[in-house]
Amino acid sequence: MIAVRLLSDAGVVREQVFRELPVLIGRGPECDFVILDATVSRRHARVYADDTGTLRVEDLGSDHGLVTDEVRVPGAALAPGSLSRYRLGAAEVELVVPSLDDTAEFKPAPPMARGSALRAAGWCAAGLLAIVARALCDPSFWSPWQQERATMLSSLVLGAAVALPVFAFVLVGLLRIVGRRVPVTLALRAFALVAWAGVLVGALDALAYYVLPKQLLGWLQALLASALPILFLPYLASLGRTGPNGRFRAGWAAAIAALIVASGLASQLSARQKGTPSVDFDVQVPILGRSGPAKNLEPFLDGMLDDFETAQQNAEKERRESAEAGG
Amino acid sequence: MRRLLVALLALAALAHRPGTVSAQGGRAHEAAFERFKESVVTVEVLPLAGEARSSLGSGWLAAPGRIVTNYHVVGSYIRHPARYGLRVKDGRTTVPAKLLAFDLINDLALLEAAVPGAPFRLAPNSGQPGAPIIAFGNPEGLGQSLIEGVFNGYASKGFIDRMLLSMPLNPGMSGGPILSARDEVVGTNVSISWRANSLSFGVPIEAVQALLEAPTIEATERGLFAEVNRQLALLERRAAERAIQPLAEGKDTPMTVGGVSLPRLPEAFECWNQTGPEARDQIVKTSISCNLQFTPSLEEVGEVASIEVLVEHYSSRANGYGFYGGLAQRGPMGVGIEARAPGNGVISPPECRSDRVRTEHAVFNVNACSYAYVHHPGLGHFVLSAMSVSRPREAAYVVLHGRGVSGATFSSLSRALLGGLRFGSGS
Repeated sequence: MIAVRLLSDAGVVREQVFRELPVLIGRGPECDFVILDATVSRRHARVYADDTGTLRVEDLGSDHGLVTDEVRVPGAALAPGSLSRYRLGAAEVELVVPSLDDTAEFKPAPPMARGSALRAAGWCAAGLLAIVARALCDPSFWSPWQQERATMLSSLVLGAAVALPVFAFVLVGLLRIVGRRVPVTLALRAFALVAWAGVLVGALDALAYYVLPKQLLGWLQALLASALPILFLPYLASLGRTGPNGRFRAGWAAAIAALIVASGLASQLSARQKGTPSVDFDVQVPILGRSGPAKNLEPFLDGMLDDFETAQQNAEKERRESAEAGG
Repeated sequence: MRRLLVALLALAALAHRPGTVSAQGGRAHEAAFERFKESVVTVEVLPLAGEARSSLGSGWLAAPGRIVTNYHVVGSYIRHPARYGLRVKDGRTTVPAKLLAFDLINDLALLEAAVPGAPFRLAPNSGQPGAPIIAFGNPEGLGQSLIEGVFNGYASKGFIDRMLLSMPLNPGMSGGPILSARDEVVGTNVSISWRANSLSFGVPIEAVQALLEAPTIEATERGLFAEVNRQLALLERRAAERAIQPLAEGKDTPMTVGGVSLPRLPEAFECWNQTGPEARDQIVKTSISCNLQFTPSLEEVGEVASIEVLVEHYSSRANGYGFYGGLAQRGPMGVGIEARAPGNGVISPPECRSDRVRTEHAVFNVNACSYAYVHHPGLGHFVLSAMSVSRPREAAYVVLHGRGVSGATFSSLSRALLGGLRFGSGS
C-alpha cells in the first residue's frame, strides 16, 4: 500500500492511496495518478513491488527524469514507514509508505481535547508571566519619577493577553500555508519559551554591567540582542516540520543574522552621515559598593583629547576641501 | 471718594517730580543732541548678493574719518568680506566705509569713512561709579536717540571688563558712544541684560585707545580669519587663566551642591541655585548652573570662550534599584549633545566616548563628545556629562560645556570638577 501526494509550495494539494501495485504516475490518461503538467511525461514513473516484496519507484525513461535532493536517479527503494519526495519535471510528489504496523487510514485531527486546551492556556499564562517579569525587572519601572505604575502594568497585561493568542493563531495559519499542521498549543509554547528567553537575556545584560568594562558591555548587549531573533525565529519557522531540522534552521539563522548585520551597518552609515553622537546613559544601582570595572580619570581625559585630535583632522580636511572648492 | 483723590494726587506728584528734573536735564540734552548729531553715525552691513541679511548698528567718530563701532555690528562682514559691503550714514549722506581694525575680545571695530562730523573728545578713563552719563545711538534704525543713565562701575562677573550701566539701551544702539557730563566719551554701548529691564553694558574707553593704535588689517577673507584666530587664541588663554586656573589650583573653599562638595567656581562665573522636592517628595534635587559672562560671539560658531557648568545632586528616599532606573532616563535630558552632519562648513561631526570613570572619591558614567571648528584651528565645542554611580541612594550629575575653547582648557575644567567632587561633606 502506498500514498501518493502532489505538492505545491510544500503543501499537499492532492493525495491518493493505492492498495494495489504497481502504480503508474504520469500525464497520460491511462496512469493511476495523473499529473496534468507539460513537464511530466505521459508515463513518467512507476511504483512496484520487486521480487523480494520491497517497494520500489523507477523512472520509465521520462524526459525530465526522477529527481530527489537535486539528483536524477533511475529508481530507488521505498522503505516501510518512509516519506520521500521526488520532482517529476516541475511537479513535486511525495511517496508515503506506511510502516508495517500502521493502519492504512489517515486519521483526521481529533478535536482539541480538554487537556490540551488547558495546556494551551497554561503556556499562554507562562508567556504572559514572562512579559510581566520583564517589565518588573526593568529598573525604570520602579523609578520614583514613574507615576503610573499600575496603569502601565495593567495595559501591558491586557495587551499581551490579547496579542499572545493572536500571534499564536497567526503562526499556526502561516505554518498551515506551507503545509504544516501545528496545534495552537505548540505555537503558544514556542512564544512562552521566546518570552522567557527574553527575560534571561535581560538578566544577563544586567549582570554583565557589574562584570564587564563598558566597551565589552556594549558588544555583549548587541550580541545578546541579536542572539534572540537568530535563535528563535528559526525555531518558530521549523515548528511542525518532520525530518531533520539542522540545515533548515541553519539557513534561517544565517538569513536573519545577515539581515541584522545589514541593518546594523545601514544604521551605522546613516549615523555617520547625520553625524549622530554615540552616547550611553545606562546606569545601574551599585551592589555592595561595586559599580563595575572603571577607568581612571586621566586616561579617559587623554582619550577625549585624542577624540578632539580626530575631530580636528576631520575639520582640517573639510577646511582644505572648501578652500579648493572656493578656488 | 476721599481715598481715591489722595491716590490720584500722589500719582500726579509722582508724575510731576521727575518732570521738573528732566526739564532741566532736557535743555542740556537738547544742546548735546544738536552738538553731537553729526558725530554719531549709523553703521550698515549690506549684502552685496545672494541670501545674506543686512544688519545695522551705531558708531561714533573717535578721530577725523575714524569710526568706532562694535565687533558684533560688523561681524558678518568680517566672516564674509566678499559678500557684504560696509556703509556709514550721518543723517545727511551715506558713504562707503572700510574696516581698519577690530578687537574681538572687547567687542570693538574701527572703520574709516569720509564723514564730515567732528570727533568726540576721549576721556582718559571710564570715570567714577555713580557718574551720570548719556548714550547715543540709532535704535532699530528709526532715528538718532539719546538715553540718560548712570555709570555703576564694572560688572563683577566675567573675564572681560564691562561697564555696568543703569539705562535701557535698545537694539541698534550697539556701537554708540557713552558720554560723561563733561561731554567726553567714556565708553561704547555693547549689550543689555536679558534678565533685567534697564541694565545695560558698555565697553570701557581704554580699549578704544589700543584700537586706534592697532595696525591696519588686510580686509580679505584670509587676512580677517588670521586676525580673528590670533585674537581667539588670546581670548582663550585669558579665559583659561581667569576661569580655569583658579579652579585647578583649588585654593578657595569648596562649594556644596546638596550632598556633594566640589571646587568653587571663580568669580568670573555667574551661578543660579535651585533646590526642591521631586517625584512626590521621594527625591530632593539640588542644582547649580553657572556660566562665564560676557563671552564674545562669532558669526557662525556662536559664543566663544564660553563655559557652562551644571551640577545636580539627587538624594532619594526610594529604593536604589528604581532610583537608578530613573537616573538612566534623566541622563540624556537637556545634555545638548547634538548631531552635526559632516560637511556643514562650520564644525566637525562629534567624536564621542562613553566609559565608567573612577576618581579618588567616586565612580561616574561619563559621556564626552568633542567637535572641532572648521575655520578656527585648535578650538572646538566640548560636552561632558558624568552621572555618579557609586552610591545607592544619592547621585551627582555634572554636565560641562565648553564652546570655543581648547582641548587643554576643557580637560583641565573636567579634571578639576570631576576629580574634586566628593560626597558627604554637605550640610
